[in-house]
This record gives sequence, structure tokens and C-alpha cells, in this order.
Amino acid sequence: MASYSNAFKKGLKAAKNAVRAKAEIDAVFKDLESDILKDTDGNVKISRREVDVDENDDYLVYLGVANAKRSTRVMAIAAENPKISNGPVKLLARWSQDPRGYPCKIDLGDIEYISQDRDALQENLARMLANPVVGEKLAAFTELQPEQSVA
Amino acid sequence: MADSRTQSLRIAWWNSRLAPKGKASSDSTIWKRASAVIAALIKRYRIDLLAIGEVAEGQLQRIVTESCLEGFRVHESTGRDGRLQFETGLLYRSALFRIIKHKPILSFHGSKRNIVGNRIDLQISRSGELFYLFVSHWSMRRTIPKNDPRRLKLGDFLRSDVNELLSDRRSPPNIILLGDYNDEPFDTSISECLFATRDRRLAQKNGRLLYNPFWRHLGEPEPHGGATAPAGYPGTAYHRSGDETCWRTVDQIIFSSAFVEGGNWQLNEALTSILQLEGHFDDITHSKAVFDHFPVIATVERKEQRDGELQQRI
Repeated sequence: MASYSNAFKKGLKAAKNAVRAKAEIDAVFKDLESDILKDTDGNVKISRREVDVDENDDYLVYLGVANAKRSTRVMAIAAENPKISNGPVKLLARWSQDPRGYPCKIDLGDIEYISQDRDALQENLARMLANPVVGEKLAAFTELQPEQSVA
Repeated sequence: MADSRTQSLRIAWWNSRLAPKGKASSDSTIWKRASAVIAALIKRYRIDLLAIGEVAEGQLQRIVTESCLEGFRVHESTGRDGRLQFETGLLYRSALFRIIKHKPILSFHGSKRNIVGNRIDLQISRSGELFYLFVSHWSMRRTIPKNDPRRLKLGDFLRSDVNELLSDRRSPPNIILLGDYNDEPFDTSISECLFATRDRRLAQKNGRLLYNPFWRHLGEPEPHGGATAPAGYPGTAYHRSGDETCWRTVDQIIFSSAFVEGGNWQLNEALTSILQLEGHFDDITHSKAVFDHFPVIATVERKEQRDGELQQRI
């Protein structure tokens, strides 16, 4: 016979663990955000948010339209200049997270990092920042003046 | 007949031992014989896409040049990143495909790290159709034991990337996973974490399942007591010190359900097997054997083009 009591307790424990893991991940991103804001005199803010991207449309290719693209909205780690209202937002990496918090995924397009705990997440965010493509995107923001925009 | 080469594709995986742990072998016998196997796969078996494990930087290009494998291009995922050793590569017929994207998938847990696989997105030059390839060479069981949670996670993470492709597409995606998993089709990481089933009928009904044709290649290829001497071996890899078996089917090619139902390309399972190349692997069980893995091959065909022509190509 099913033990509802045990399952219920297990569910509560899992929910508690998930809340703790998500708070831990939020704290890692908070640290990242404040460090980068500080390093760039407030010109670059890095956060998790939804971003629109173009990607291959397999369905149209399947129907015979070569190289078809479609626009889609994805969860991302993105950069923006908070001093510019409605300024450009640049996708640095795609982001996804398990409902339990970990594992979470940083997808740079040419490499994907899966983090199973806080140490791994911190290390992988550092790897992301050290990536030359990401560096190039961030450099554009650091040179950006409030009246300019990123191409 | 219109260009028949674009109507069928032959895919293979081989753990070559050219560079165990990413370090190029200094044994000239291995180099010579591995080059001969690769040349035979391409010239005699007309493989269009050959994924190779245990290779070091530059080795595949050298084989292409020295063996005159015209029309083949090399894609490498080799080199070292900290404690991670990348050692896989791809040889592909450049007139048939182009690589549009590739990325290694890496998992980190504290100071432990593992390579889950390499995703390579290929586009068929003629039709524009996309094939999503996941090439993996998972850690050996001496490093990560059977059913260790880390091994199961490798299956989970690979599955997670497959899920993204499945949930993101309006048409059934052409996904092919191949490699040396150091786990067999029945092991939890492959059967339950990756959802690679033996049940073709179920994979035809449920588009989220993967179909693993290598369930058919687990045991002795011939029944005992037949009139002829036994031909072939019961697996893809030989482990001299195995307790309950010396043979394991750890090299596999696994397909998304599109290849068994609904997709433009269909798996031809009759042409999917372990390739015990005559003359190259006679001594695999010998104590001084050069290789310990056989190549595995698979064929996919455009649905409207299953006319027996392929049978003649073998």
C-alpha cells in the first residue's frame, strides 16, 4: 500500500531543498552582477532574463525551405547598460535550470557547461566571462556612452 | 538515377586506440593498422560519416592525406582543457554535409568534471535538412563504476540536450547518438536515463523515445550447435579480465524516433551492425592485440529510396 505520509514528507523536503538551491543560485548571480557593475563603473549589468533570438527552423527546412529561420524567445544570461533606458540587451549565453535548482546549464553556442553545485556554477560563470566572444560583447558595452547604442 | 549518394547515408563509430587518453600512441603498428581500418571503412564500406574515439590532434588529417581519402573533411574535438581530455573526431564526405554548429557538453560537480558528449549539427548540402549528432566517449568503468550516480548523470545530461531538440521542433528532428558509452544497451544510463529503447514499436508510437538497434547485438551472433563454426564475437569491445563476460556492447549508434517513424530518413536496420573487418581484427582476443573495439555501422535512407541498391554496395 502506498505510504502517502512518507511521500508527503519527501515532497516537502524536496521543495525545501529546491528553495535553498534556487536561493543559492540567485546569490551567485547577485554577486556576479555587483562585481561586474563595480568593475565597469556601472556600465554593464549581467542578469538572467528572456531574450529574442533567431534560429534554424527545422520544420520549414523539412517542408523544403532551405535555411529557414524563426524568431524565438529564450531564457538567457544577458548584458545591458543600466544607464541607458530601453538600451540594447545582448545575449551572452542561454540559461536553463532544473526545477530543483541544480543542475543548471550555460550554453555559449560553441560549448555547454552543466553545473551541479555552487562551486561548479561559479567556475562556469567565470569560464563564460573569460570566453573571447563574450568578452567582445561586454567590451562593446564598456565603451558605450549613454547616447550611443550597440550594433 | 539521381545522385544516389544523397539518398542513403552510412554512419560509423570506432574507438580507434590511436591516442589512448588523448596521447598519440608511439606504436607504429597501431598507426599503420588503424589507418588501414579507417581507409577500409571509407573505401570498402563507403562510410559517409565516421566518428572516431581516442584520437589526437592532427591524426585524422594525416590519415586522410596518407590514405588518399579524397572528398573527406576532418572535424576534431581534441586537446586538453584542465583535467578534461577531448579525444574524438569526425571524418565526413564534404560534398554531402556541412557542419553548421558544434559544441562540447561538459558537466561539473565541485572539482569533478566529465565530458557528456559533443553535439555536431550537420546540414545535408543538397536538401538543407539537419542532422543532430551527439558523439560521446564516456569514462571507463575503472574511473566511474557501473551504476555510479555520475554515470547515470551522463545519461541524464545527454537526454536533457536531446529533450531540448525534441521540445523545440515542429517536425521530428533527426537525432543520432553514437560512441563508446562504456555502458551497454541494458545499463540504466542508456536504457532508463537516455530512454534508448529496444522496443521499436513503442519508439514508433512515442516520439520522445530513442531507438537503440544495438540491443540486437548483445549476444553470440550464431546459435551454439550449428553446422558451421561460430562466426564473429558477442560484443563490440573485448575486456580480457572480464569476470562474467569478456565482451561488451558498449559501442552503439542510437536514433531518434523520426528514423523509425515519420521522418524523411529511415533507419535500415539490416545494414546496422558490428563490423568485424576481416583481416584487421583477427587477433582482438590475443594478449598482444592492437585493438580492443570493433567499429559499429548504421545506414539511413530517404524513405522513397529503399530499392535494394544499398545491398549491392556492401
